[in-house]
Amino acid sequence: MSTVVRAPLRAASVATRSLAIFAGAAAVLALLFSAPGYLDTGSTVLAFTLLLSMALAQAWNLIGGYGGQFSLAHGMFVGAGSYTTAVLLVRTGVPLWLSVVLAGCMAAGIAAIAAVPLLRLRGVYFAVGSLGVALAALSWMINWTFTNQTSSYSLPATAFLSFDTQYYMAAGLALATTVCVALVARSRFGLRLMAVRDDEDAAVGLGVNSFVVKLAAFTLSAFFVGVGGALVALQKGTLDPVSAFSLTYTINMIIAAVIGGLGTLPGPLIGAAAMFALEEWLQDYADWSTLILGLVLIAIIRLAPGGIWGLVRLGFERLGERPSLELLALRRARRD
Amino acid sequence: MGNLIQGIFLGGLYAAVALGLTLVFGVMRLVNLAHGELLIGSAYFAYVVATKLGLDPLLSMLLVSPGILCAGYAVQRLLLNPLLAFGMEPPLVGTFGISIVTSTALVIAFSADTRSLNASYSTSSVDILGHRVTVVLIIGLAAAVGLVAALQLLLSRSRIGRALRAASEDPEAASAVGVDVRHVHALTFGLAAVLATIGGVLIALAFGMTPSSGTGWLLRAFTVIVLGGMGSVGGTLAGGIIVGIAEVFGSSWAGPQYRDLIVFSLLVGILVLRPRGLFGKVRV
Repeated sequence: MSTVVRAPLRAASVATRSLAIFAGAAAVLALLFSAPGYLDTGSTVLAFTLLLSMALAQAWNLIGGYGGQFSLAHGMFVGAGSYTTAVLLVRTGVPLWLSVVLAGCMAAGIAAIAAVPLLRLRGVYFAVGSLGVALAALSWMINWTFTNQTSSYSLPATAFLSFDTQYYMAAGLALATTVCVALVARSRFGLRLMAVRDDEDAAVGLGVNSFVVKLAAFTLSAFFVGVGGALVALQKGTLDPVSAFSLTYTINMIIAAVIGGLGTLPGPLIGAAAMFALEEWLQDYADWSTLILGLVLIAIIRLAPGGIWGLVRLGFERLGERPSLELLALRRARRD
Repeated sequence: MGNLIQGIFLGGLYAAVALGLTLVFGVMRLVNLAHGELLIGSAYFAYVVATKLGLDPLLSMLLVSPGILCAGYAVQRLLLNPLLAFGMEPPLVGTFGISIVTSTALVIAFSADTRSLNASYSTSSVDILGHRVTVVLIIGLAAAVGLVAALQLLLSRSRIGRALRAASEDPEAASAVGVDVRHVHALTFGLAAVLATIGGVLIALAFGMTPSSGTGWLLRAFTVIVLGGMGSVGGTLAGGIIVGIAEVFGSSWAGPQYRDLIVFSLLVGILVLRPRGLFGKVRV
């Protein structure tokens, strides 16, 4: 019923909408590209942090939001990416850009191997199993002499990049991840992925190979997180297993994605920005901001499971629709 | 032989640690990702009472239990019950949120340092068949056996136990015959929180704790209940003892620094090879 009423409105708004998206994308690109020009050093570093956490949250969103697989293993991919870059730069003559790409490939490879057992599990079993893999990897790294066990592992002096370069890498990663997720979401593959999320048995019944679909999404997601890990390593200069493989990365990705809006494109970006704002505001009280974010996470999932973006969209729909009295009556009737 | 005895007693403690997770899963099909923080948080609560009043840790555990029961009841009633209606992911996110909030609140209140509960008996040990076993582990095994027996009795004989089993079998049918399922679920979570208090106090006595140690304990407890057959109370005891034995033998073979790796690999292995656990049937 409602589609019939809104049909003429729709046709007009499609053109406006794609124009708006195009203009918005151009503005974002220009802003991202020119930012180091007018930001001071401190702000450039902050922008790096924000863009990196956007990229990580968006990457988690691919498997956690669109795929419905609540992965608690993603902190492991950050650590794997960090250490891959560090080891390659210390022990081989690989150029820096290649070490960053290989860091993503290493994380993707680990994801593909871990997926063989993990993705046979569903729901909660997958979540806890992935947590088990992540903690097993951490305790392996703590004992691995190849990477100095718990002692710090330093990158060579040649790996130190200017703040602007670091910024552009993070901006590129955030952009690449978002574009990739956008393309996936509109593709047949994305539809299969969401079908598996919404009802795995039904999707399998319709001929979707759920394992392959989940495997592809998990691996792709891990690739971007691994590259993010490489950026973490390049920014920090030294690594240690406990902070590189920290569950905090996983927690932050999930908080950002859920607060912003699970399984939506702008959600993780909005969530990461909101988190960033809160953390900056409470920068001397890091624990308090985590506490508040945890409470917000609970409030969102309880009161507005669509996240901030869900609320925004709801508001837009109400504004744009101007439903007739007839329609309102219909809706009320349907609700009862 | 020494390893076997150590493993059995350690396993008893693990079973006590996992019982709350078993109960929640058995009745509600909910894996409580905040179980680790429930253990550690209630142990901190007992720690505060024990140090402020100068009480024995086990006595302070009894003292804090009613408060913990009410807190658990409220969390289920206000937060988790509404989320359970929306499928798998929302309750998962909800309990994940509780775990973040609890562990962060503990860092704020107590700093990230290691704390432990101390009692006159916490360092002493007893000879059993010629092998030394610490008193805390003996209490742990005794508690596990006692709690499993009590829980079985409660579930099979009492009115509330019948309501619990009914709500577990078929929530809709249960509410049709007059069981207040929301109340039963909240009571279950409260009871699980009390069980977690016992487990948490044992952890604090035997190993000490930090605000972030909950995650590792969640995984240990989950390993135990997967081995024991998700949701089976008796299986939890068996699962705990298997994990205990595997950990003691594994770490004497590979080195104690690999304890965690052994247990977490066991978890992943068992999830893949036998997701229904060693004792098959999935029911309370």
